[in-house]
Amino acid sequence: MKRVLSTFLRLLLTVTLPCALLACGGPSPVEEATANNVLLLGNGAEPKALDPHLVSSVGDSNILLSLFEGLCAFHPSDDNMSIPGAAESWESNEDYTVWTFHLRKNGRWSNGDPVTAHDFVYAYERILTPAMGSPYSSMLYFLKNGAKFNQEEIDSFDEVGVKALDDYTLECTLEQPTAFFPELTKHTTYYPVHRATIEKFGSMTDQFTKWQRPGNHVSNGAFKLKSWWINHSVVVEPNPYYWDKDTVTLKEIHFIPMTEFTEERAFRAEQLHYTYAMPSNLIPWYGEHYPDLVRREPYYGSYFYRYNTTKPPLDNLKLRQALAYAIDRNAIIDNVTLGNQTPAGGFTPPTPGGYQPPTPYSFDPEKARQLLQEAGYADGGEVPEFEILMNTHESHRAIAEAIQDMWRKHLGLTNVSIANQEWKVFQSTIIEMKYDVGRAGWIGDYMDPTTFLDMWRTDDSNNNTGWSNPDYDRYLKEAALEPTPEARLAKLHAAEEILMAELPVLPIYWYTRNYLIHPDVQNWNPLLLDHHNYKFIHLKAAPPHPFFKR
Amino acid sequence: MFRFLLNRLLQSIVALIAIISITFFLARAAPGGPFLEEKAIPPHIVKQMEAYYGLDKPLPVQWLTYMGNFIQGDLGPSFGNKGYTVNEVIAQGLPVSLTIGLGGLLIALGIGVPIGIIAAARQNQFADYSLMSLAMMGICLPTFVTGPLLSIYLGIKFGWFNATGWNEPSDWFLPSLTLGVFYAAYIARLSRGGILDILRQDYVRTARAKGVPEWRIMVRHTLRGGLLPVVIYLGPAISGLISGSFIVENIFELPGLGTHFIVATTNRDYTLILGTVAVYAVLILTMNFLVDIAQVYLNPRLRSSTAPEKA
Repeated sequence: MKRVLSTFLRLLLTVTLPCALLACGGPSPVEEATANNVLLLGNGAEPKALDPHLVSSVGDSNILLSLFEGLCAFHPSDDNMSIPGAAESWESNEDYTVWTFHLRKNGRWSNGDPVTAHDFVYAYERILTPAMGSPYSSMLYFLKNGAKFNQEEIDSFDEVGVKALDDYTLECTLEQPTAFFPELTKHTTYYPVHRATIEKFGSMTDQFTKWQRPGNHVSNGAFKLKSWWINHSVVVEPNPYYWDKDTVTLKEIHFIPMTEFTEERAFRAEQLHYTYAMPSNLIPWYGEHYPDLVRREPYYGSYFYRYNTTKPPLDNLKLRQALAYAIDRNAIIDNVTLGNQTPAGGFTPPTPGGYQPPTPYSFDPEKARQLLQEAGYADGGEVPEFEILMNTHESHRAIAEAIQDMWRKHLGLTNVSIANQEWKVFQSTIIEMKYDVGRAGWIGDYMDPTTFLDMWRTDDSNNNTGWSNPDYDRYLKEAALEPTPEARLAKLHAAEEILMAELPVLPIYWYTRNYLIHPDVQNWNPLLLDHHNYKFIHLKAAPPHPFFKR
Repeated sequence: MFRFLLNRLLQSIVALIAIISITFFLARAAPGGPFLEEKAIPPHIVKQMEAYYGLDKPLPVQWLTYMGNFIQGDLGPSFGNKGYTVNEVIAQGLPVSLTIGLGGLLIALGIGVPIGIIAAARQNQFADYSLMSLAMMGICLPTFVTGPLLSIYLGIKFGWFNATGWNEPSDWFLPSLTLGVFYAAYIARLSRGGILDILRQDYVRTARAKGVPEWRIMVRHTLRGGLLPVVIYLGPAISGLISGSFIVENIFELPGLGTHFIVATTNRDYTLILGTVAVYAVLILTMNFLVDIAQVYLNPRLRSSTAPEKA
């Protein structure tokens, strides 16, 4: 028997040992990367494209942020501030309807060509051309006639409000006064593209060309594309012609698509500097044992449920309100989501020093029961059956179960069921309005409440609740015309008060970004929009950390 | 024999066309589409995109176009990876899947065959029972349990390997081991059975009677015949290892065919779904075809059973 066992063990060792010896002994991937100034970032999902006119997801934008630079650029630590990017300076007329950007003369594409105002005009024409089919072209509807041109109501791009006054002066004429327009120019949809490169590989509106490939890709940001291996990594390296190349210290950034569970394992094994997300059940453990490795930062997003207001029983306003008062949001955050989220008494997340939304909905079971009575139900058991629908994910289910339980406990609702659907199926169910209560999340694109409020306008393609209110639509329109920023925010506040009074949505919490970060990463600051300007990120080998055993 | 093989070849081609057609219509029947995003894309834009990719044409027309291109080896553009054709995505992913699949096969044979031999040599003794129980465990443990365990212990606790990813030459080992353990267990049982069959043969008894040492009987007289079931099993094992790797690829975040397949289904990347399914189908059909040839070649009874067809 001993012989058998030893033979077996010997066999196992002969197989594993050589491999193990090959693998171990050296520094960890992160140690090696830091020494070489290579930043290893988890980035959620595989990018769908590296063309600023074809992307719409957060992960894709993160990569584009390194490759491209808008007229204005992101400040390394202050969301509300815009720093000079491709433009050195900018100014507007008195009512914020005409903006003039003065481009820097030393701006260069990654192939050495100068970045000119014509590149921006070309880019805006490309994204707005209907045949381009750009998923996020509506971001450019701020430009005069942008929407009309994109929806084929006018044919000539000359009528759209963007003009190159000379090689280095760009004038944008807007549909309505927009004081935060510089904010918008930081968004991926406002990035320039290199005309000669696009047209070398196809026509202006070709979606499917090889210009996005390593070797072909030309960009104007601090970095340029080095390699792209699908479902493995996108690697960028410094753009040698970038006007501010002396600020850039990183030699490479690797954007690695990974799910949150694998990311955490990779972080533990010192294979990643930064995880895009993390499993929520591990947040408290890291918080207790290694608080220096885990970050819990406010994020400009709202987690909520949509009500289908066209269908009983949720067409009943009092019932919708009762349900909103019966949720103990703090209990959900403390016991389920575990990420220091902020209980959402309203819809738009508050901005420090800026917009403060109305927050009427706190936990008030007494009031909830009273509203239920007013809704016409003497007892929760009388409320007809309805369903909470979500896309399949453990965390969504846990939240839904907590809410279902709170409704039963505080209102006596016994007929609430929970269902989940695969992501794309779920999305089409919501769009077709075949749901009762549907989970949703919304991340702001730019620092302004309109990025949250616009979607509730009548017939907005993201509304999907059946709710509509002409006053709400009017307030949003009027807000843009207000003479001062304060008056404008007051008008938006009034609009959101209507939204909260009629409640087509059930606010639950405002997001936080929960992620793990290696002590080697320097200058990675908390940002509400989570848009990091990578040229300001540095790596410096920190003393050995007890968490990493390798 | 030639006619038998030609027959099997034609059957394989029909099966391939059926698999692709069924997948084509099933993928289209699933709710949602490639252009459905969390932040809604305006309907007029969706129309433009559908027109660009030819999705606005009637489904049968799309199917005919696809089949026509497929025969010419053109799998179309990937909807999910803009600027890459499905052929290119598969060309990137297939070597990864092949590497871990073949690595898995080596490990399966390296562990499975010796265990089978030992168990057979010590039939009905403690070694046999314990090794066969171990093999049973290997068969029962799904890869989504062994994978994370191996990653956590060998990757994080001991630090011998990278816990995930595809960056260093040694990164094939943990995924291959995860894949291989299951097949090792199966191969151990197969080889044990095969060897036991041979050990009961008269010529083995004769050799024993002549005083040939036990190890020599095993090596010289038993192994070749005893491992025949394992050789025949290699065909399905190889196609299973390569096509069955998508869970393992997902656990270790490898850029292989399986990962592409899963991402393609969640994105409704129709062409990439079809492309990966086609590659899997071709692999499995080819392996089955080769096994057919091998069986005819190795088994005289099968050969004679095809004889009446010739008559």
